Amino acid sequence: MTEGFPSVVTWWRLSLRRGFSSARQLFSTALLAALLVSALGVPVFLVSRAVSEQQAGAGSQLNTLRVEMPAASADSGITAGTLDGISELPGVSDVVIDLKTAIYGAGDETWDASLQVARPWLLPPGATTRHLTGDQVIVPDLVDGVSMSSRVGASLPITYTRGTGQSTGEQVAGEVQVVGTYPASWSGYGQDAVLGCQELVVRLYAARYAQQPSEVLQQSGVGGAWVQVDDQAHMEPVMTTLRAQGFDVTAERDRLGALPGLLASFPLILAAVGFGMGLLLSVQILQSVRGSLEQRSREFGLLRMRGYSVSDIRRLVTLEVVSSVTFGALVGAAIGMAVGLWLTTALAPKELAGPLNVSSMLAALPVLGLIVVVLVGIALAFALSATQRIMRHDPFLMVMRG
Amino acid sequence: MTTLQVSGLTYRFTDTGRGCADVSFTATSGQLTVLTAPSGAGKSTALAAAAGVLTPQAGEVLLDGRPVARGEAALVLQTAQVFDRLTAWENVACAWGMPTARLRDRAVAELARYGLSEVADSRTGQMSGGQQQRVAVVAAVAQEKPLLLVDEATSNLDEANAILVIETLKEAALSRVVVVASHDARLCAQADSVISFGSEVRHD
Repeated sequence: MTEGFPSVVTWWRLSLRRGFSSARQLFSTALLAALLVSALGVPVFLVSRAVSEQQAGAGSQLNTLRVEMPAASADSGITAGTLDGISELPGVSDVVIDLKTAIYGAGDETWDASLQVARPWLLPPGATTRHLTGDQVIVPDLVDGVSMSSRVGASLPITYTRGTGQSTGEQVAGEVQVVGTYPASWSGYGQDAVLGCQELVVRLYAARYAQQPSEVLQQSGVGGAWVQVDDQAHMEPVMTTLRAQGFDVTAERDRLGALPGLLASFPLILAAVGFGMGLLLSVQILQSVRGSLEQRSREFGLLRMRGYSVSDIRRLVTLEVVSSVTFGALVGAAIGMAVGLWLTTALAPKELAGPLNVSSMLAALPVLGLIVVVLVGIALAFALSATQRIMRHDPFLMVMRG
Repeated sequence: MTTLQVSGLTYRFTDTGRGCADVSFTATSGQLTVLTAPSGAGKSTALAAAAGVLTPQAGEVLLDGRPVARGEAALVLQTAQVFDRLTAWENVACAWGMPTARLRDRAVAELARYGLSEVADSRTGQMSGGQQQRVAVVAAVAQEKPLLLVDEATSNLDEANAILVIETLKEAALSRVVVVASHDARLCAQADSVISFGSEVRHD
């Protein structure tokens, strides 16, 4: 066995083991930097993408119009013919009636819920069925305290009201097929909303008012409808046309108040904060490297006396900086991404719950991985630049001259 | 017998111009050589340049007629002696590699030879200056390099410990070239060869 003073790698291992390396300080600084930047970067990225999806395509709730017959109108409600006319307008991609009716639990179950027509562009989080048919419904996972999670794929007994006279009715039994559930906390359709296809809702609605289903859309009409427009550019022309036809028209984005502006500014605010934090932490990394190397100048001087060259010292410092900063940035980015995903789901407006589902987040993983690589790269660039600057002088001279 | 031949050795710091200039001496194994010079004449610089830690701007340093190779010299400076985050035995064991338990007994035995066994497990950063100086000398001797260069080996020591260090250096000199830069009269009295240089302090 060859005897001799420990090599660069051995000395690095010894310094880690004895706790006199700068690794801990560099690791924690890089970890904090990567954690903060990625914790803010992930929501920026995900929300930006979700907002983009919301505002650009036909799947945007912000491109939705609510159309009603004026209260003073002598006409009946919105009929099938009217709906057809609206759907043929340029820029209109879909029209769905706004119709609700109450359904109740059967037997010992005392829950009640609002059965509504599902809008294909506003599906609950996790919904896999875009177009419901027949008796299929999507229900909240909890309705009036009753868990619905175990009912997926099964028939759900319900009762609903069947009108028997002008203002009288009776409860009759029926059943629907549960094809999915969504978190009860999601309120895209309001609380306790059970979503079904137009035929199902019309059938139960008609029963409540002692009508035939065909009468509802053909004769009496419905109070309102949801109109989905291709994109933002078509919003104003479609609204103008509908108003000219005598409808009361409200853009969903107006009903949502300042939300679109907020959605647009949310990523910008986070990006600005993230940039500022990143800048501060980059300076912190520089100071951390400088401080830790200055503290160790005596040790480096001794290493020179023991036979290390200046480039050996530089290799030692580089090894330490690269390993600590890389490891710290990786760990920080991993924790930061988890925090970022939590922030995204916890703080993003519920209107973004659709685009911000688990699958969209998983799809974003490659981009998030890229964020990590960039973060590690930036941290390393700062750390190595500081190292180069500090190691320009022979540490032995500093020690020798006190 | 090993011979160190230093001739015309010059090293000046670029910013202050201080250092050593035109230093020449010869030292051989088997005898303790002491360098004396006025303060500021560049004794420490001359030792560092002779050890090859500093690259001289002029002159040459030959060990048995060939330039001193990297790692052939053990150097102890007054301003930096031991790794203060390591224990005494670890400082000594570094002479042989990674200071693991495998080397502990050997290192403790070296320390015990010079009366330092009781501080073997103490961190040198917590020791007195004198103890650090002694550990540094033991660690340098343990390196078993053909050339041992020590700056002010006894400056922080009391009488008893100074005698111990001088004995250590004399013993080491039996098998290698040992050069000590010092003003200490006790050391000069024990030296086999005392070389004076730099009668004037040079500033440019």
